[in-house]
Amino acid sequence: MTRQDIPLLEMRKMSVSFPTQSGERIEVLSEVSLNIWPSEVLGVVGESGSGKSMLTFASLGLLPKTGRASGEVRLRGEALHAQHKRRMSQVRGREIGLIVQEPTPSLNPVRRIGSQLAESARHARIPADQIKSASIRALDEVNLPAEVLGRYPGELSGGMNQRVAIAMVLLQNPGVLIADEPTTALDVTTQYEVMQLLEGLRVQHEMGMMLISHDLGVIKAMADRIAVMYRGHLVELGTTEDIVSRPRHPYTQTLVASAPRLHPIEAAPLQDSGCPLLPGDPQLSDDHDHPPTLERDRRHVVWCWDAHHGHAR
Amino acid sequence: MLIECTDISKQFSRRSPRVLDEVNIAVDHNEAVAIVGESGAGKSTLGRILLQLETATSGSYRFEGREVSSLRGSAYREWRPKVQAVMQNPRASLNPRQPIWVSITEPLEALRRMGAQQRKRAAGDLLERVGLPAGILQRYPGQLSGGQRQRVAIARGLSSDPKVLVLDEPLSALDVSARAQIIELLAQVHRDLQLSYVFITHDLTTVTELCSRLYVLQRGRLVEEMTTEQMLAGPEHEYTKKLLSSVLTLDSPSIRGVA
Amino acid sequence: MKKFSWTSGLSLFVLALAVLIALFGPLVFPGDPNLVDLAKALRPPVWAGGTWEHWLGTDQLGRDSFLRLIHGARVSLGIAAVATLLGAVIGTLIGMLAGYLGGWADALLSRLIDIQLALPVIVLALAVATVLPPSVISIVVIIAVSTWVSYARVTRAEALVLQNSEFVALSTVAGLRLPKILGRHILPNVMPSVLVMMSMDFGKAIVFEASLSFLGLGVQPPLSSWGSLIADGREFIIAMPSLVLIPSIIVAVVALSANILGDWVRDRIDPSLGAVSAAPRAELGGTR
Repeated sequence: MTRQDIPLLEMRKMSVSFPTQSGERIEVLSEVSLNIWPSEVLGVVGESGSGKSMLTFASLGLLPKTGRASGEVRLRGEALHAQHKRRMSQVRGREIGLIVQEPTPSLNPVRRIGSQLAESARHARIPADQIKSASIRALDEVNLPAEVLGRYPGELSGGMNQRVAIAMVLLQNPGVLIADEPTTALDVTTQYEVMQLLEGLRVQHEMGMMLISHDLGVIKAMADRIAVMYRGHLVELGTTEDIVSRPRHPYTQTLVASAPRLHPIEAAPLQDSGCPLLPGDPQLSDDHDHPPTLERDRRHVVWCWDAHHGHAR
Repeated sequence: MLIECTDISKQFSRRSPRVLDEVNIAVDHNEAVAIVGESGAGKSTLGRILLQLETATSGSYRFEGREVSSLRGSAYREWRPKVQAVMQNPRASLNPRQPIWVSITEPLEALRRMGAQQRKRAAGDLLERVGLPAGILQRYPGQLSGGQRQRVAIARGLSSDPKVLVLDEPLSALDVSARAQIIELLAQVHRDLQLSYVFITHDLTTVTELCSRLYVLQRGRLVEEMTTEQMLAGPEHEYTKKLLSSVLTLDSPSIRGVA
Repeated sequence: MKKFSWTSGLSLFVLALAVLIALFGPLVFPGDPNLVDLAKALRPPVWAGGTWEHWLGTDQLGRDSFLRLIHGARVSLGIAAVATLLGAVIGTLIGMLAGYLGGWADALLSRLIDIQLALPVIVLALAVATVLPPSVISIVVIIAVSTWVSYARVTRAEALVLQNSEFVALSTVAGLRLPKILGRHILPNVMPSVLVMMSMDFGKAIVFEASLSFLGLGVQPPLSSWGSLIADGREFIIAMPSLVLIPSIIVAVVALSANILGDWVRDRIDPSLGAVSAAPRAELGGTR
């Protein structure tokens, strides 16, 4: 069974670089280390270009060919290597489920929902004679009727397609779920329903979860801990309460201050911290070597190049 | 009233369902009003009717008391600069092949004859008003960030000194930090210039940040009309209640354990 | 972006040479291409035992083949260039109007395109040729009539996308009138596709002109094009193959060069600027 003392998914010093037109490589993810512990929700927040989606792609070996990744991924302690294509394809879906932003394009438009669910079921080694009943059960779990099996993705709404995508993940019953902007393309009310659904299923299926979003409000509603990413770097990691109420890194402070609210607050003017937020400082690599005990203690960690902000407090 | 829409309906073809069904809205001088709804609510179509990019199938749209669809020739050309727009996608709202000063002064160009130098000077002033250096006049949209492009789009919207700015989801394609800055800018512009906003959005937080009144549309029908305070105190209509409770902000309760 | 390869370089050289010869050849090599001298009829080229006086030989009327090729270049390339331009201008204008205006204008154009597409080009050419007297102008018209459709189709589709784009909507809101909207917002954004098609069509037009002239529907004597040279020489294909082969090879090489260059132009023009599509999808590293 799940051991509580080792992470479900451990990402250590994950880096990703892409070539530019001039032939140099630019780093879009720099030595990011994160753990997902059993039954926790880890929120990853960042704006465009923060590298938050790269983390998923690199961990699952899904980078485009030109991308180069380094770092170590461990699933329940077992080291995964992107080169081991067979093992990776077993892991994807069966052990790590993935839900992405745009459900409609991620489904094959010319195949019925039923046949796409069946494929997931086969991937999960569900016996042929049980595939249909398993598919109906999975649809039921996401509150969709069985007749959806005969429909095409184009006939369903965005919210329904996202439910189908969740049902596909459920069929495989993975221990870890990575949800990358799962509700960004949806209407507010649908977003709320899908979030509630995800939370219910996460509890029921005892999944650990990484929820990636640009929207701190969405992250806050669900996450136990929040990792803040900025330009490829992990800049702050702490409990949800700490990050939202006591952000320490100047970038996190900006993020919290500019988060949309129904009752706008008069944000205290941010002091210019002088934090250059530039890579290359030797402190960075030291910080990223922090021991996992720090995370288990759920402590608040800040990575900054400015000595005033210090680190690991 | 500056704008009065009475029983506006829109059908794209005779057999298709009504995208807007007898919608009534009114916007006063110097007022910021929101039109709120989810996808398919018809809010963008309403905005396009206000801009006369579409014509209503039936109903009346009066601007300063005059029926807009009946304006012809010089009367139409006089009306046109008074209603301007800022749209959702800062990438698509500027022609990628023309320097930004040309885009910014397009509404001016149609308004009166002006030389290139005059228009450039006007564009420079407008850029400064929206917090961009006048030195970027000659740049192309591709050389600007999303937030900067949205500022340019606002500068363009202001160039003909309009009475109304129709803002169709101008924030939804922006990062949060850029979004906060644009809200700040829009609030400042609304304070400084005497103009009205018609803010089309799916996002209730933008409403509370910028608008004093809102209309809620659901599948083409107007379901509720209220002030922002009334909305925050608790709306009447079930749909508005649902919209409000679905908003996830830092102040919203966690959904953990709720499900 | 595709590199400028040696094939593109060679093609550019061939095409430039052909254009230079067409423009200045008659000045550099003076002489009357229509000077009949039956005493010198059917002389072979110099490598087949001829003399340097007529180094590419002479035809059945004793006219100098080299001079006729040089003068033919003017006619062939001139017709191809004018016809390509005419087809492009007409097609682009109609396509943009139909795509931008929509409604009945679009319906009318779409039917016209359907009709044109249902007619084989050669039949259309023959039909036009029977109505118009064979002349340079008729050839230009025939070629333009057969090419404008593709420009209209492509620019209509692009204008339709552009018409729905925010910046075109905003220029309407700004109060710009139709010619300015078309000229400033639609045309520059369909131009890359038009240029690519034109560079491809130029090669086709050379071959098309040659085919028409070969069929006797084209250039009439005393004017001669490469196509009419081939037509004139066909009776002597056994006795004097150079009369047919040399102009044929020239047509083939020039048309091929134009096509290779067209390919290069197509690859050069940034496809991301081709048409402005709706909201761009997720970029690397972010979704917003």
